[in-house]
Amino acid sequence: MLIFAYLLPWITGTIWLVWLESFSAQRLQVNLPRALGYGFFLGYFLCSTAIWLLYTMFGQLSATMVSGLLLLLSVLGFFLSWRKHHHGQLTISGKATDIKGWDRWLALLLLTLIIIHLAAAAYDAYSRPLLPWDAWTTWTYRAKIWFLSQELSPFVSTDAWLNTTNPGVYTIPAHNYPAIVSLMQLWPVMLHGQWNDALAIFPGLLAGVALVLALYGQGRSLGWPPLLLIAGVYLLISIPLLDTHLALPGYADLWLGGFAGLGFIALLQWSQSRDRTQLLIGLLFLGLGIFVKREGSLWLMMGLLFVTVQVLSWKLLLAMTASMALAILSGYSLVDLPWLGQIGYADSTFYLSRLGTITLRPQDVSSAIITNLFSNSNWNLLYFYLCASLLLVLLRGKQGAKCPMMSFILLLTAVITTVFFLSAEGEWVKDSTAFGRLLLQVLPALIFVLQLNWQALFRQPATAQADEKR
Amino acid sequence: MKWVLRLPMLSSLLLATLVLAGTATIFLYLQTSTEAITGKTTPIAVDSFRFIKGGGKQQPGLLTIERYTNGKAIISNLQGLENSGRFRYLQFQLTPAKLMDDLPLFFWRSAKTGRLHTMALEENILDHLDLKHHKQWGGPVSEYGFIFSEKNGQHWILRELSFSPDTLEQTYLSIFSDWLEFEVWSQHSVNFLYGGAHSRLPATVVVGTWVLLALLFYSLLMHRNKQALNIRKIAAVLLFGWMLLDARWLFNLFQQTQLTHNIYAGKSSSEQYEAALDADYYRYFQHLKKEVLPAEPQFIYVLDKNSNYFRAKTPWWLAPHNVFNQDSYPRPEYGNKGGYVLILHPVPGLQFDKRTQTLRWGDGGSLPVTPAYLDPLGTLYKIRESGRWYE
Repeated sequence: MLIFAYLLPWITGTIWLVWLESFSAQRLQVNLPRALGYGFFLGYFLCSTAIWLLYTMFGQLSATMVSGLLLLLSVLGFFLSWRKHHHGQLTISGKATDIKGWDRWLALLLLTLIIIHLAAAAYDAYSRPLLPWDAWTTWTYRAKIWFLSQELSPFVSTDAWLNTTNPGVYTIPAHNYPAIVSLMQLWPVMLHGQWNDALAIFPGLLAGVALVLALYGQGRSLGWPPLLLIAGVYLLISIPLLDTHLALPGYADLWLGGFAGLGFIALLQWSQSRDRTQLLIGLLFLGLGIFVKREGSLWLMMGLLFVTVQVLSWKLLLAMTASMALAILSGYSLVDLPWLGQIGYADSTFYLSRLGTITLRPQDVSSAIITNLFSNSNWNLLYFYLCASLLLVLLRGKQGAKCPMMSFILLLTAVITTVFFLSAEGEWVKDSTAFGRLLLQVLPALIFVLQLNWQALFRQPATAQADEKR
Repeated sequence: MKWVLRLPMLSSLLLATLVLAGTATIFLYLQTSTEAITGKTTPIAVDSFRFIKGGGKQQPGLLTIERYTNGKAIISNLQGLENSGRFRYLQFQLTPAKLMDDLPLFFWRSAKTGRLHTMALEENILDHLDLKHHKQWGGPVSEYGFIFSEKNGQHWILRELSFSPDTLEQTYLSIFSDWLEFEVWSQHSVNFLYGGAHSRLPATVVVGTWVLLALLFYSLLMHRNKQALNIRKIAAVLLFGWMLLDARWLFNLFQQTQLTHNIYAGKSSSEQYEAALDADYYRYFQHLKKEVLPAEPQFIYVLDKNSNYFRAKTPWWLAPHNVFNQDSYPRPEYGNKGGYVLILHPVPGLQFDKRTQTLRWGDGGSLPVTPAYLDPLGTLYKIRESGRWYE
């Protein structure tokens, strides 16, 4: 039953991802690792939505109804994909690539290390009681309350809670955090029928497997050599901070890493292949990220800016930047949009729609950031390699890769600077509680950038047609 | 020179190693005391320790701790140290391997007037402790020793104890020890990992610099030779540097997995909680849930002096009871909503008046309650139905 619980959303998501990818003009075959990787996150999102939707409609938490809906969605998705792939001409590209000589041994070594990392994390995730703070105060706590009360009880602010005598209304400091991750954790225990921490948070570990598959699949779609793909996967899975989130699941950052991180990878892939399906998937995942954690809005905005930079000419971009500067100076830099709310900048404050506001309050957190990136063991050598490779790409990289990589890193730097150097959020860097987790949300994309840099410096330009060959 | 040109990558790696080692040594030499090279280690005979609490055996060169009094065994050296500041490191061998925080070192400046200082010995592979981590270390110390806590009647064997000044050799040993220091899962693990970052030379900085320096030398050599760069060799060096740090991380993961296995393996969910560090509180809250509180979810207001781990975790343990844990003193709404008040740690000024059966605080604040369960870990009061708020 548990295997069914863990696999059903994954299968549903994969099928719908295959359907989405069938709109691509560039390939006929299904990229199985990519479909499985992205499909996992899409599937768990669909599963959480199904739990919420069916509860809203029928007023009860029913594992049978959710399973039924997911099965129905899977059948429908399969039918649509089958039709889209010309009635059965759907072929799967998943065969093992031939690696010869020393490369084979190196690949084997890397695969062994990948398995060791995942196995160690799985053992810890399954064997110990829930440890991380925000898991038992927020994310998993809500799932536990919902399961034990068999209701999707609302969580409200302190004032609202104090003024109600309804015993079914709860409160936590983070009462306004999105519910999706808690619903994802609720799903396995709903099917199991008994509360168990390890079962609830175990999909967090599977998310690590999905990240690995998605990264591998996206690299393969660009025709990269197999050793580079395996090395990329190894670099990702051996990042100590990611390892920790896999071994101690329960936080939402790992899940947002699936939506925002993989969303950015899809956008970077599109920047190389110009496959519009990847652009769509990238924006879809970044959009879904909003419902996972509030920082999702930040990443969606960054994604939209990234796409804008890719499609517009430098002249137009310069004109836009100048217009924005003019708007700020003349006081017309804040717009109030229906549904979205206020977006823009005014009176030393950035208005970020539903994400809230960021008031400028410059802080010196450079020392804390340098320690986090280069001195602590959070990231192995990722930032050493990223900095060195970006410098090299800037000096001698191929033009096609230079713009997307540099714009991605510059936009990321702008986000980090605004959030941590210029706002009160900088306090979270000083005690190291938020900075690392924010970067974890885009970690898969940073590894992808590292691989792109490698290709830009030492290999032939990536070909969009690679998928057809594979 | 011919050899350098024939094996450019190997030469670059060696050159990077030399440059890094040389720079590091100069950097450390400038940081260390005047005894950087001449300083001598002072061995301390374990026979000079006496049992203050508990007991055990003293044999030549080793001390065995076997018995505990009220869960503690204390050994003390009354000879003290004339100038403790001369010593930067403490080395010893303790078997079996110790657990973090289980073995505090204590010391007095003066047994009569001074304050007792303690510092927890961090678990590290070389049993090599940096005394500078304790700000009070320095000057004359009249007495020092170790406090052992009983754990399943565990015996300990202590030997080869010595104090060392801040020499280069000891500094390198200390750095190596920091690099391999076991970092157990804790509340900060999901936010950041130290990985020996507090060391005078963090491992990440050393390996990162070494790899990039080697590749820089290699590029310069190849440029001078007018040869193309060998991509495979560059990839190998990059991967090797990464794997070196990953080996350190895997060693930490291995120790963590072993610890998890020893504590939690093969246990049910509730047995795992019983084995955790906060097991006392788990048992306490389970008792409240099963024996004291009604089965239907109740409003429970946690009052505590400050925010802490146990206060924050109460809702988790008491779920599905409806817990509010943000106050130190009751609010007017408590009386309207009804339910229970749980006081985990004494709150200054908040008292239970037995005569009137009310909680009283501040300038006349009171809430009518009935004691429901008393325990050293927390007191539970039921708000009386007719509970009204007075202030």
